[in-house]
Amino acid sequence: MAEERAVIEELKRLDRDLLNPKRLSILVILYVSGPKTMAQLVRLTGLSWGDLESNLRKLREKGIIEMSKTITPNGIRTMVKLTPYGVKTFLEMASKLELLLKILRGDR
Amino acid sequence: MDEDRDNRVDNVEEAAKLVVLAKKLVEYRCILSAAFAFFIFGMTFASLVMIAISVYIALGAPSRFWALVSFGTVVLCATISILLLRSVAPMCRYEELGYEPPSRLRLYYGLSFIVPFVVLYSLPMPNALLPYTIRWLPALGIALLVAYFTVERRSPLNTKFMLLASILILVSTPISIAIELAAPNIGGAASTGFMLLSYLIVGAHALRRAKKIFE
Repeated sequence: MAEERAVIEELKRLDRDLLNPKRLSILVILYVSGPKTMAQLVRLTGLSWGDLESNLRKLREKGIIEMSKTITPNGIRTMVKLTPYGVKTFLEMASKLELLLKILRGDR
Repeated sequence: MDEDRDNRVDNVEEAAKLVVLAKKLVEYRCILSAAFAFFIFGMTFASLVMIAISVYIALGAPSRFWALVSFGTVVLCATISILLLRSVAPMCRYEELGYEPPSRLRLYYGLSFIVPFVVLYSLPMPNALLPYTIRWLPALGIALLVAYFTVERRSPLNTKFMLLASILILVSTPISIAIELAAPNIGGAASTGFMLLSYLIVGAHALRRAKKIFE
């Protein structure tokens, strides 16, 4: 019972905007493999351009990512990368989720 | 209501697994990066040192120029290694591991690989005590030790690769000196061998440590 309460408390503390599967997959890709162009993110996440843009906008508004025009061998591309605050937020979320996973594994 | 909560918990559990995997992957990449650094730096350093020593001995150059040759070799080696590491090895930034290094860290890191070489080659030490052709070996050992205390010790990964490499190199230094004194100009080759062996051991240890992340 106490463990269940702990799970619920942890769930409440998590940023639900970041837990959205589409935004989470964008965050994981940027965290694991570094800055990516929009085209690479479309390919890796399987999202449409419109969907990707709206999710990136939300992450940008929160200060999690930053976007900039970069010259690449294929021309000028929009590069997306995690901000230092984004990395910090991601790692904080990871710690909470890790704790939650431990509670859940003990629970089941 | 309960079913909704269960679904939410399931979704969060999936998210947790994904995020934990992402963290492990970044740790894995960072440790692989360290292993690559030892292999690339070791091979670059060994090849350049062996060429430098061979040319130096073949030309019969006096020992007072050895400091210049050694310094040039180290600078060339550092440049080639950094270029190679940046272009082919997986890169790692401490920020990704939740640690914000102070801006002075790069300076400390650079200095730790310059000062020991400058000091050891400037010391008016008799050649019989520490021959010129192998002074770079203890200098490298000290450099790695300083780099461990100034940089690596702060790493959130808690690795001791530089410490291990420095111990191995410093332990092998007296053997290299003995070889050089017994057979002049052979100590350089022995030193290179010890350096390569030390880096091989540390690189392999780093790879093993990386592998353990997923065990």
